[in-house]
Amino acid sequence: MQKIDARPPSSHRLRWRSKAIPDVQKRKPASAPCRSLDAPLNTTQYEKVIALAGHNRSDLSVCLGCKICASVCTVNDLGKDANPQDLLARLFLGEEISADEPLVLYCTSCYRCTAACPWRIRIPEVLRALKESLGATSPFEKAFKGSVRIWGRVYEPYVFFKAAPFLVKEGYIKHMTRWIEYMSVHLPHRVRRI
Amino acid sequence: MDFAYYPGCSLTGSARALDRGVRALCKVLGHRLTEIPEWNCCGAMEYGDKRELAALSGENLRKAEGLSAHKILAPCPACYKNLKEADTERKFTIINPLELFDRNALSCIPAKRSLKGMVFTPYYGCVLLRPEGTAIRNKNVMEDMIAFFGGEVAGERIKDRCCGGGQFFANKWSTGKLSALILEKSRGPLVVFCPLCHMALKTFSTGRRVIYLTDLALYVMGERKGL
Repeated sequence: MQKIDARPPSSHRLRWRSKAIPDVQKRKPASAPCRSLDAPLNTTQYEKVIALAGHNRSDLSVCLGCKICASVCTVNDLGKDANPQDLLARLFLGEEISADEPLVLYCTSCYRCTAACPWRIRIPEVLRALKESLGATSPFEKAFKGSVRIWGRVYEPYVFFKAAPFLVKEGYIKHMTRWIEYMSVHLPHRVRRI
Repeated sequence: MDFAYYPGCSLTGSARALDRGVRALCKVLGHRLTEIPEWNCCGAMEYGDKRELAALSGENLRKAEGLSAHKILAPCPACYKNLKEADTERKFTIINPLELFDRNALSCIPAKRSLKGMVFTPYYGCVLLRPEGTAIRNKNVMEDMIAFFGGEVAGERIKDRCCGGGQFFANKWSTGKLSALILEKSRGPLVVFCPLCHMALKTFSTGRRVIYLTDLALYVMGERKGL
């Protein structure tokens, strides 16, 4: 019985190889060259963020890349293109993440990603740490922390007046009629050390 | 039962109504609340540094150690989550008032009014339901309470969506958009338990009522005139 060779005739194979190999070699390098595996990674931002978020290095490396976080992310409801998995991967690979990423700007800490994630990765905490390390905190947050520093508690009138220029500029004042029930006259309480 | 009470910053200011309601309901249910002496801010969701955040709540837990009660009642969802996360040694049981309203407790509330013919949308927000480790156990507690007093429940689909409250004082438009989605898909007054959700939903609701669950209970008890 004749032996059946399923492979294409050798002449074909040769032609295929002779065509394919030079093709690969001739390909121009992409505009952003692929990093070689032995090149040192720029992990300073990553290490910093991981330390701030209270994670271990292994906490993010377990990511399966399933992108279920992206499918439930609230930021996508805003019409912004948010993909937490992609951001984590870029962070993990040592890419510099900028402060104008939609996720850094708009993450609401809703933890939908964490609830959906098979590994329960706490992405909002990574993003908050990232925001902190980039210094991308809003004037309101600064006023909030200022109040905690002075009194040990949040004294709302202080936070409000401290952040007033920002609140006026961003048009919060027009909502004030709806905030009447929240307003009260009370003095701040300074927390004593016990 | 004796509880150490941790009101949190909002409940001394903008969310006074929730504080009053929780205290009144605890009195009715026979719980005694002792405020943790000199409690400090829990840091809410504003701190990027996890250690700083844990230190703030750790300080509160240390202050609570002097009290005889080993159960801490924390009504604000952010405080509740932070305290629960900081209590790594499980020295205390951190409880949200929502966990007190089981069926037994509901039958203890002296109902003078019925909610018959009224529609409510219970809205939990994010932090009470997620992440799993710090979430409340009964995730239908508000529905149970409304149904117990004869009210109709609507808006099942949006009960765990985000109102955008976390971004309220950074990107107002995003909160507006997310709150509008919730308001659109709900019917009747929105029943909430989070001070920040209350603020976000109230700011962007036009003509819709946003109330705390405690207000609803006080209304049923006849201690509040209207909703």
